[in-house]
Amino acid sequence: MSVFDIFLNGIKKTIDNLRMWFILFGVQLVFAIVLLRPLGDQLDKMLGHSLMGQDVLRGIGMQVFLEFIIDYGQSASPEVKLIWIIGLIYLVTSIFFNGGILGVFVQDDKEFSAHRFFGNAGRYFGRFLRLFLFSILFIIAALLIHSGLGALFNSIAGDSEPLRILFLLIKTGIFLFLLFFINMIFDYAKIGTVFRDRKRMGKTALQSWTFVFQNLGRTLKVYYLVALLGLLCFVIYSLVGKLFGPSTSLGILLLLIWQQMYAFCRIGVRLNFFASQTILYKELTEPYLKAWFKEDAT
Amino acid sequence: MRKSAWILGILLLHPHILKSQVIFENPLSPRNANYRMDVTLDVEKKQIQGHQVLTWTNLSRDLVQELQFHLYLNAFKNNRSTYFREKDGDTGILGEKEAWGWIDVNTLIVDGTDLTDRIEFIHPDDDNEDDQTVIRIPFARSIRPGQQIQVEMDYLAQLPYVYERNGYRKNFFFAAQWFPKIGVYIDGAWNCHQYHAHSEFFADYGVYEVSITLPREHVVGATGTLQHTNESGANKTLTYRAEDVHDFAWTSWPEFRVAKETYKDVDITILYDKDHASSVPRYMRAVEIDLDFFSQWVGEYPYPGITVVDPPTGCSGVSGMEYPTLITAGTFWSIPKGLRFPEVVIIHEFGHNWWYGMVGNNEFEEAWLDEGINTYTEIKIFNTYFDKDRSLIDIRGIRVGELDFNRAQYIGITRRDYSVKNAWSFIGKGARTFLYVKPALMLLTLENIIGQETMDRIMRTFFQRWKFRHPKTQDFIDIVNEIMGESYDWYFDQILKESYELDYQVASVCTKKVIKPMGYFDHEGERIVLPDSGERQRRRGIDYGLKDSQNRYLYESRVDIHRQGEVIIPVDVLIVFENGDSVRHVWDGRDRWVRYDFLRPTKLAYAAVDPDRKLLLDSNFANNSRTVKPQRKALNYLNTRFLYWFQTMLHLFGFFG
Repeated sequence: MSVFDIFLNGIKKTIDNLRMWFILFGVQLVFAIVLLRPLGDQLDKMLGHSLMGQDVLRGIGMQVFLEFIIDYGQSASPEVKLIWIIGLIYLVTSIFFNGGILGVFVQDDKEFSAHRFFGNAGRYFGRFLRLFLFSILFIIAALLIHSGLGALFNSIAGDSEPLRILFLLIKTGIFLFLLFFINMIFDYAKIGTVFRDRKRMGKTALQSWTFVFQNLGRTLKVYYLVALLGLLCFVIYSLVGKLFGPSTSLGILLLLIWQQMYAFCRIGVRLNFFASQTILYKELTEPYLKAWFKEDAT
Repeated sequence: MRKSAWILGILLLHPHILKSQVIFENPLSPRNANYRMDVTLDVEKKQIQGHQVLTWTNLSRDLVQELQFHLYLNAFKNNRSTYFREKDGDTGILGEKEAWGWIDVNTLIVDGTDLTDRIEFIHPDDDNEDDQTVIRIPFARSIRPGQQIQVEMDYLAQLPYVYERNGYRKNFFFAAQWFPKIGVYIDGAWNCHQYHAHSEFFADYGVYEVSITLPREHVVGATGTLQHTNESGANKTLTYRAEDVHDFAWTSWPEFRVAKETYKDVDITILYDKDHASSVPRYMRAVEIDLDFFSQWVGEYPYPGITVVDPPTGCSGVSGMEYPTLITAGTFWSIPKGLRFPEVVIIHEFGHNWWYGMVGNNEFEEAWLDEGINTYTEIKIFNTYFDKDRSLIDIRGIRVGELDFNRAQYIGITRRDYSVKNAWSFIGKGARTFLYVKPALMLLTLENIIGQETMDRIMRTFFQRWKFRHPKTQDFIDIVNEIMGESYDWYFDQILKESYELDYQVASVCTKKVIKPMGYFDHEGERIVLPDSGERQRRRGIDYGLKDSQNRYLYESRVDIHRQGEVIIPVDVLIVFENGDSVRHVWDGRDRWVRYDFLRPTKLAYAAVDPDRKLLLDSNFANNSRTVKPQRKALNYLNTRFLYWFQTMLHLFGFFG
């Protein structure tokens, strides 16, 4: 199967599991509403009966934002803490759901069932949590490379501001590439875990590195093809989003709908990463698996 | 034509003709502190070897018993100086690089008498024995009123690594506060403060004639006008003359590029780093804006030139500073047009040539007079020349006006301090807020109250009366009172001299239909119980007062306005009804609250205090209005935005799970 076919099949697989897609979207929305609540209360207190809100609607709301940040910022530490706490809970929840998602994609011959989804989520949670902790080590390594590059680039650039800014962009690009690369590697570690029911996560993580480097071209192509889809969604969202201004209630409603549609698609893109990578993994490993099973049988 | 050029050339080369040319036929200032200097820059040691002759005139009516000088560079001598103590010992990389700065006076001769051994360090602002930024030289005899003396000094100045306002980096040099500078004898005493972390300077006016010797490849910018250049071997000597100024700064760097233009008879020179070439037209335009604005507003720029120094990479420590006829800029490579930081720096720093340069207030003691007035000017200029709501930042949908940006720095800490106090005695960002922003908002508020035309007259009178002199706070207030024809002391006392907050609030609004009378009433000698049945009411002919003459229902509306802050200032109150009717009141604000009651055949829509936003010092605009009905649209919009941002944040969290 070509990389593009894998990508298209990934999309199909994602669409086939629309219920799962909605569950993930709903969970994210609930978490976001929990975060919004205290902030919304503060906004209501400040602008609920004030004409100042009209500045926002006229697109000259900087005074409002500054005043809000200054007035609210002084008592915002519980909100900042809440963002961290909810963010971490959401992270753990995502780790939990990843098991369910991959369970669905790996056993793609079966119809989606919530029971199976949550069952797999629970089954792989501990293992994926360990994988996540391993991934942190690599993220730290990426950060170290980032700062090391900074020192190197600064010494090369000297006093040249264009070079400094160029190197800053390159450094940031390399860092993002490393982050995405680590993300991809650990996606394959998760897929491998579900496929082969692996339990030794350190070994699995290392094997996923081997897997990716052995199939570097195809893994990268699939990853960046899906990423391109994400970018395309973002560009469309940004361009169309500009049409919905705050001047009318209808405009605000359309904006809300449009933003939620984009948030929904964004989750779909994340699912597509898993779906496409699962297909690729299956294709690349199935001959070996079959051979392995055959050997085992004889 | 050619012949005359030859003759001119010979004349200019003749040693007797090499005298500096007078710039102003008639002195603009008292010129009581005049310096002649010969200095040599040692580019290897980063040192300036200097010889100076100061001619000082005692303008006071006192017998002056001693002289006092600033040795500002000693602020960078060690981490125990008052400057670094006020910075909590943060010496940046000076300590690491062994790159401290200092100045030693090796010889001091007053009217032929060597007084070098009488030099002693003093600490008029604190008891810091380690601070060596002020010296005094006591005399055996006194200097009489009007008497002129000559002080000859030899000194060696070691420039620090670029840290703040001056220094060197590689072969870039910026010499500011670099020579022994006499204090100001005023009000019967020497006013000669130490070098502080959050303070600028104060000096008398005079003529500076400065010869600078340095390697010939260096490109130089300096206060004043270049009179002549002598080249000798690998070095060159440049002689500058500046008249009616109170400081002299200069810079040199072999890699400076030069851009020149003349605008309104002023020669604009920009010395810039090649990486900042794209900012040069913006610098130029900003200088022109100041020249236009000030000349129409308070007075012309009298000097023949202005030099803008754009420091090279790594030298931002010297950025954004003002000196007479020389200012420093700040930018970075490829800065977007929508970020107007190069403009704001130039407009502000060049503005200082009026407020500080020409109106020479004491920046140590009453810095609001230049920083506050200059920030007020800066905001006015930005409001005039750029779109008000996006004058400072206008990039990718992010819009910030210069006024909003400044006001944001004030409203969170309104009660922390007050403005008329020594510049070094603030904590945190207090100096910026209470010397720059609050006075600027105070003047903008005053302008909104008394009208632009009157305010312009005040500013013009202040400038014209106090240029080339040393005004104080009361001098400014006196001019306001004079122009207004009544005392405005109450305004300045509350805002400038106290840490009071200004905050008016519409505390509550309510509106309801007039209800039927209930209970016992005496009607035509009879005690009746109301409400009656409709029949009996008609029979008795009692008007319940529920409707007006046109049979429209009446509504009782009530508005409560509170004064949350301490500042008492008359304020407009606007009350608007649903049928579009409106009522305007002026509340004197003396009480803590005021209540307005209305009986009208229409419901109340909203009430607004200071509806035209004249009182820019008001710390909370959101509570300046209150509507009867909830304002959902803006909230819905903001909640929609925030919901999406939170979803995006969560998505990022989840991505790495």
